[in-house]
Amino acid sequence: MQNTDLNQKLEKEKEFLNKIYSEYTLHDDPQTKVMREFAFEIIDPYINKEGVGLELGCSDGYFTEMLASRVKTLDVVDGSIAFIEEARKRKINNTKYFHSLFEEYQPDVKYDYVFASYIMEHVLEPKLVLDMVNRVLKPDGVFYIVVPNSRALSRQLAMHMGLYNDLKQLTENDLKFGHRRVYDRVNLNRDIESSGFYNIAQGGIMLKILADFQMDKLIQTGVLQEPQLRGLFKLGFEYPDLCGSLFSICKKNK
Amino acid sequence: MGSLEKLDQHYDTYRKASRYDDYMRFYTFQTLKPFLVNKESNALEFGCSDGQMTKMISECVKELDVVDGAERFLEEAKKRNIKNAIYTHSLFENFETSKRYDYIFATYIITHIEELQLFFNKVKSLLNENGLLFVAVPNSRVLSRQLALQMGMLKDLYLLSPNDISHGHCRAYDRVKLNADLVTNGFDIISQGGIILKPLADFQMDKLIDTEILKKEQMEGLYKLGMEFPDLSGAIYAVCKKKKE
Repeated sequence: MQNTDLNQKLEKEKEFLNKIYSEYTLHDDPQTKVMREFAFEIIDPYINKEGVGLELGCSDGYFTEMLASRVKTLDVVDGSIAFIEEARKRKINNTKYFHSLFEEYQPDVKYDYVFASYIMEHVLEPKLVLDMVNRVLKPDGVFYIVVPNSRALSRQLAMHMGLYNDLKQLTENDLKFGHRRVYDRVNLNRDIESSGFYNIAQGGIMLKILADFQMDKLIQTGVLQEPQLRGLFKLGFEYPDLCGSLFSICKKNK
Repeated sequence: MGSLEKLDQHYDTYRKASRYDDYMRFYTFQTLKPFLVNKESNALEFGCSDGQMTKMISECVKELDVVDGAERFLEEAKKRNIKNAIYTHSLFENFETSKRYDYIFATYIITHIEELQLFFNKVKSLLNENGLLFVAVPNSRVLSRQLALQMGMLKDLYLLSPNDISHGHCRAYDRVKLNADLVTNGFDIISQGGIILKPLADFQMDKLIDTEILKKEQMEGLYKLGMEFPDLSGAIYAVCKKKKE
């Protein structure tokens, strides 16, 4: 992209973010909450309390709060002022918020940890965001990515029901949430590796048997309780390909 | 060998109007139906349960003999008024006839049979030279059992659950064990696969079907997914011929 083109696109992106996420219903449904807790459980063992973290995208601050409790300080960047205001309500002591596009974020510090959970599927150009992460991550820093998985069992079921023609097709829900792409393991690793990172661990988060609205209903009606959900989480380690989300824990190439 | 009294006891644990079970049998039949090319055929069904499969089979063959060790199952099946079905109350191993069959159905029964070799010898003696044996069994590796294992409710996928034992199951199958039993008993497998990818336990599946979280469309999707992921299916099947000597 030419620089002027890029600037125009990023300006448009800011307008887009302010528009879409002012009407956006926050992800406070039960399944999303569970997924975030599992996503946190996976990264938790890699975090040292003395570290300095950066979270890309805070949504309602639920994940922010968990991360902040595990690091010395946490910076949060979000392109949507509405989300930042929402997260601020949690009054997290060691956290600072920056209203900026990820692509344009230019901090004075370098980070031990960068957390990018459920943002890569939203951004305009993943490469630009990954380049920014590469700039702000310390040489031995850890970069955590979580994205929805196009090969989730639930999506494969929907395809067999004739609801989609292609697992990589953006669903109605994808569009509603502002998703611009959907990853499988191969695409995700290609993006990671082409931006100067390598995986130190990877896998799936929770084998997802049914669609979001059905999962929510099953949780609400008590068909899926903590033991069942934890069982599906553990099964996800055996069948990462069928999980609702994929994670990668990365470091920068030497 | 089993006894007739014991079989009648197991009847009580069965077919308490499980809609999931109805789907299972429906899709089992859907899977096997394309092999029933000969409308003039003689068929034998071992174990009729409430006659749901019996009815479907009877519509594709000329004559259907039905053998069951539980009288109450036979009575249930007879209520369906199937014209071309003949019922015999007997242990499978003791069933005697001068007829030879083009198709023999052994769906969801061999997990109950203690002496498999006796049973398979009986099948071989009753099957025409080019006849087909249809076998379906619950799959130990079904997704729902793997979930139960991860929940700490099962120690081993191959361990019989209390549900299995109350149903009178003697052993648990996966694909490798089923094929080994068929091959060592003198059969060639000409087709095999899984029936319905089953994400949750039977009682939960029933609840999901009753509350319409799983409707016909979803069940059809799970059936198709089972073809792609036989290892995670609720049941596995094999279509067999007698090994040529």
